[in-house]
Amino acid sequence: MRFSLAVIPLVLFAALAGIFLINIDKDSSVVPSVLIDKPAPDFSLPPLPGADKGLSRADLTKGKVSVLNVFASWCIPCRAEHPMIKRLSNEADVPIFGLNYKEKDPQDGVKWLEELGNPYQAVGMDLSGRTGIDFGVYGVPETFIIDGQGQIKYKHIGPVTSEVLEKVLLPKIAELKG
Amino acid sequence: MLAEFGHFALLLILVAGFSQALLFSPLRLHAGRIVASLSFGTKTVTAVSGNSGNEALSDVHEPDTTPHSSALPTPFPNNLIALPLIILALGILSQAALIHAFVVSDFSLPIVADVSHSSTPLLFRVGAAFTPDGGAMLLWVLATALANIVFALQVFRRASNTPTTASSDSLFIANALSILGLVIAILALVTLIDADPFLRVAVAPLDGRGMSPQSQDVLRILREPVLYLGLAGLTVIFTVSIAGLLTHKIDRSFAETLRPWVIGAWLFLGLAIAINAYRSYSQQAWGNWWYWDTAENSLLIPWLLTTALVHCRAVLEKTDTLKSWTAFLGLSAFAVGWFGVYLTRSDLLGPLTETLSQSADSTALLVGFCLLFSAAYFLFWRQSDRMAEQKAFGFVSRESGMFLSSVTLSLIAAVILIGTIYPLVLRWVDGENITVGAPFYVEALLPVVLPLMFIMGFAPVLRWRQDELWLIGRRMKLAVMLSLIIVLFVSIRFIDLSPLPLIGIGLAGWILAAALSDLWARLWHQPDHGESKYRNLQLLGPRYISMTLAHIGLAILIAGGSASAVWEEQVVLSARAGQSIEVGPYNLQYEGVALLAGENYATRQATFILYHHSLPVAELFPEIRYYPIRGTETREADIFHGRDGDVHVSVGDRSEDGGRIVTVRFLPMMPWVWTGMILMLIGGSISILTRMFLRIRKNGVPAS
Repeated sequence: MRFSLAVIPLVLFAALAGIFLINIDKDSSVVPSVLIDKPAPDFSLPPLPGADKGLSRADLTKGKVSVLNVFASWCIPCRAEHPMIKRLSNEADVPIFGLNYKEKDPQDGVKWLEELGNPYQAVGMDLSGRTGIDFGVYGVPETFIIDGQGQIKYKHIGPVTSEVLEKVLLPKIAELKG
Repeated sequence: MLAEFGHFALLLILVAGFSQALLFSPLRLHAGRIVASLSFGTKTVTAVSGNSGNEALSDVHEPDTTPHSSALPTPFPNNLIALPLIILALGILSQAALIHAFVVSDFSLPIVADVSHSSTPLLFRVGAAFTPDGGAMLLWVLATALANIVFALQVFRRASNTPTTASSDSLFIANALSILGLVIAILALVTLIDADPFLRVAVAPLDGRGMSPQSQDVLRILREPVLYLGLAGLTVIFTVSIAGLLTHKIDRSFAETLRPWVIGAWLFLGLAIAINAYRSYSQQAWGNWWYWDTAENSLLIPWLLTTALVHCRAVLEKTDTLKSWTAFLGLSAFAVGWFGVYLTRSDLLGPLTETLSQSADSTALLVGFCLLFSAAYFLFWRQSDRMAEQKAFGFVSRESGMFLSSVTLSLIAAVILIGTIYPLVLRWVDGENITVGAPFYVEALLPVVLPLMFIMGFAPVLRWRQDELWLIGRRMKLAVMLSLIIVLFVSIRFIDLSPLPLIGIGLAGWILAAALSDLWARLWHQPDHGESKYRNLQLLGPRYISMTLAHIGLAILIAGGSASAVWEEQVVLSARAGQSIEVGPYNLQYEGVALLAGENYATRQATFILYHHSLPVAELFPEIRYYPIRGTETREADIFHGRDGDVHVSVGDRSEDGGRIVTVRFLPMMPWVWTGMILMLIGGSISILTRMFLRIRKNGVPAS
């Protein structure tokens, strides 16, 4: 009788631990975005100081699969992921757009790109963070894959690592290109 | 460079923790190796400690086969405290290194750059060191190291007081210290793997991202050390329980060893909960003191289990029964404490706003949790059947009352745990997102809380071993009448009151009346010592006083919580300067908004003058602060604690007609909630402090 009772905590604990351990890989940053398979919100952003071309929704609806990367100079993971964005621009033949999110000083973004290199076809400057809110951005970096009609097809939250790049983003882009 | 020292110290904690685990492990003691050079043992064991994780874990089961060893080589008491002292010094060193990095704003550490900024005030720069994952883990390690040395001192003093320590007793102590060392090592390892706070980046950013404005609050900063001290107390309870299981020594002296830890953990966790409640009440402008969110639940669950432990430990000490149950609670309190840390640190329950751009990785925290506690529960399963209770107690007795209350407390904890993780499991199973809020908890908890509060009323007046129902009835008649009068009065006076708060108020009245009538009976009706009332007061003893205070505190808390929820008055309006707002018995005059500069924020500070019966009683200054570094606003309410209730004022944006949106709430009896919490904490402190005071008076200054 005692024997069977005392095993209950172990069984319950094992069940709980099992559930959590099995799901440990389920990346909770893949939060189902309400915007998936929805058209990207309408926006029009000014260019970085010194650049001639800003970013607007029209850039995303030119019939080509594109990538929108949200970055900021104050964001350390962005610095870490930047080489991956450059790799992405080399390896996938798609236009990559940048959304420079909530800079304090517009020059910060320019300096950042001068220092690390600029893989973006065009960069829009979102000083107020309003466009970021429309995109459902709640942290930087985030990366969106958008199809030729301007529909958001995938959203990655957090820095792009080489693993994410190879196993998620590149296959996804290839699949969308058909 | 100091950060590298800190990093190295953290590594050494890992090594020293494993060394402590190995040196005190029965394995090593049995081998009869010379442990005289204990204090220098660190270096000799360094070489093996790298892969000793499994070894140390398996130690847990080792003495199973040889539970009663003969004479031990005596590594203690002389060197008992050397290794814990080293670990503590290392812990302080690495914590100091991290705080130093925050104080001097060393942004080459990503942890600093993420949550601090050069313009953050010094106090908050120090506080910011505790908010990110790595910093909090480091604090946890330090708190556990502190508990480690205090525990070592406790057993050291006991061992030196009784020269002929029984071998099973030293084995018990050695086991406990060994497992404590193991836990410290696991925590240090988890810190290093998950969120190493001392990592550097090659290119340091010019400045940090700034501390989350919500965290820039003195109470928020205070909460962290208090919380981790509570967890450290739970750690000792856990290790003592394991050692007790291993050596079959779950008896009265075991309960006595446990006593300060149980009450200490209860006190610190309770304080953390109180701080958390007051913070969300005062800082976030919507002003509720309890939300049932994950952070709060993960504090409440271990606190409830510790409360259960307080009760069944007392039974164990008094009557030598409830052994398995005490051991189970001892293991589980730390388990849910650790699990709570995991839940709040990981981003499982939605992304945390405070760790925005950090991908919080808590895998090692979870794996360590699973390994440690599956071993612990396995041990519990194997050992607890050998601890059959010899003595039984009658159904109507103090033991049974306290046992029932500890069971109901654990049930409450279980319900809250289920409510907390259910959304998560559901999301994993069929991808559905739901939130579990207050309605669920109220509905699910009511059937458990009501009997608990009912038991709370009369359990303290029951006699140990065996009591008679009709005797209880005689003792309780005053309390029954008083609480009935309260219920009747409230239900007639407020005729359209819904039943739920009425039940709450009635039960609070019941606990209060029961506690007071028992106190009264003991003070004035004690037949033996009728000669002096003061003597009667002395005879009550600190335990009784602290218990009564805690029970009365809970009653006041429940009454205040129910009443303030029912009779809350709220006024939202667009106010212009000079306007007067009436709320409850108060009158609030709005004077206007001034733009002021704080140390690292700009604030729109509104001024209100509070009148009570046309007499000015206070000035209130709710604010909207703008923190430019993060570009976010926080809304600070201002609160007046009156005798009849709290006036809670917060301001919002400018409204379309040019006025200022003002939210004023009058929460009657809200001060009762805070008084109740404080009374409970005072009760716990009395229990600990008198004990410490008595011991110091008896033994002189404690040897250290």
